[in-house]
Amino acid sequence: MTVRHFLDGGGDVAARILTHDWAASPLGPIDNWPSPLKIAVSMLINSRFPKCLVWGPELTTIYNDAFRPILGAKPEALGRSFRDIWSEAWSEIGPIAERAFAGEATFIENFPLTVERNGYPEEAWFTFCYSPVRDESGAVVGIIDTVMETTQTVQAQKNARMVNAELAHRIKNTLAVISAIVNQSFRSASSLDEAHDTLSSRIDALGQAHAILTQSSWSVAPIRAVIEGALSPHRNDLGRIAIKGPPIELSAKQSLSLALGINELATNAVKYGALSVPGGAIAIGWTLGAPDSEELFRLTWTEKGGPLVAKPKRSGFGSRLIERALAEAFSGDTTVDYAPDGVRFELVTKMIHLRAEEPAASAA
Amino acid sequence: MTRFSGRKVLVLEDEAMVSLLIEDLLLDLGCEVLGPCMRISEANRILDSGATPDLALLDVNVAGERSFPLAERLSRANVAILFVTGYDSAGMEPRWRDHPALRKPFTHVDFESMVTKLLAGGTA
Repeated sequence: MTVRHFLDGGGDVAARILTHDWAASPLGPIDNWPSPLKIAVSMLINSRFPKCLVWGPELTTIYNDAFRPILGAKPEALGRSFRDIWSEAWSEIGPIAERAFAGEATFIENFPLTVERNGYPEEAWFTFCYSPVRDESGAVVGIIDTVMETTQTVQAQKNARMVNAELAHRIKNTLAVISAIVNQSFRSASSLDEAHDTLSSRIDALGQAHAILTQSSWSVAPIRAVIEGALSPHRNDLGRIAIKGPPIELSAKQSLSLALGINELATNAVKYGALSVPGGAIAIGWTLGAPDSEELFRLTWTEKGGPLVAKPKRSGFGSRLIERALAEAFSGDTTVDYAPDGVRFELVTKMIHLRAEEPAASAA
Repeated sequence: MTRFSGRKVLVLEDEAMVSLLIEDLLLDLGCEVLGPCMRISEANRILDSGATPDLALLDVNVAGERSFPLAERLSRANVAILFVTGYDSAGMEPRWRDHPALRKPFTHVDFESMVTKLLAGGTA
């Protein structure tokens, strides 16, 4: 038996080349292959870069192991015409192969092709080089296709651009919110010191919610973490605040609104409510219905042991924020009850509204 | 300042914080606020009920919905329109691209001057 050392080190495909019936192919019996073909095959199958050799006028194809994933579930490509293997994309890659056979090498980055390799057309991107292979006389006898599939990279870049545009829009919105908070904190404050304190605790609450949301790439946040984060400016009083409820996740908008709302309630409690005297306490609790149902989600804030409560004469920014922002973000109802024995706040919505993120704008 | 007392301004803005700000700035100018509406359907209901605003401040993307059809309706009713949006002109429909727009975040000075201009009979 003839020794075919040129296939040494060629991996799985070397074994397939060895057993393939080449006599029936344009290349003829393997032992009669010309030296340039044998050397080209040897270089090909010993490379760990995805490569494909396309030989002769019939474009007979030999690939290496690294090339296999690019073929997907296509029928065995060994010995077949490169044109037939990639018939779905031939109108685009045919001319490039033609140029290589004419002696001109081509390098193309992230070239989009619609390929059918898994039973359906799919958009794929490739960075590749078609280079001519010459024999001793200088005649082009084949081409080598060296190719990296870049589909994942291209898609990741597209995705990053989209995320970036969305983020830019979100930042603008956040700045508008901050600007509103700054404005409101100053116009309702009786002194510069008070404005300073109110402003920093509001921005702190917002910042805590942002930090929690960042952990989930801005999709959802656990309700307990949002509440605890919003209370962190009041951490000295945490021992007097009981937080109780089952785990549930909130949307980004709900998280930010709840954080601001809880901060307003806590600030009020420190100034006028349960946290303004020793012995006062706050219970924060929530109950759930069946997920995604019409059943109710109910969150309550109940103050006890504080001074006698009187309804404020005018509706401040804080309570408007609580009522409007929370009702809006949760598509529900909010009530602030200034009961004499302690402020009671309630937020009620249907379970289907939890986490229900509004659709992103179609154009950014 | 009550220079625009009695003038009605429809506000469409789904970001509650920003709507609170807009509301206060308009009240400072003496305006009467219709809304603020958090949804386009809410704004349409207010118009359906026969309200006749002098000016409408419209966010462009409201809870995932575009406010351009509402702008058309207001425009037909000769209501002055000021878009208040985080989008630049590329995010606007061609029809509205050259229309007065206040980009978020905005300054109070810009807000006041644009609202003043439009209420004082500037271009609608």
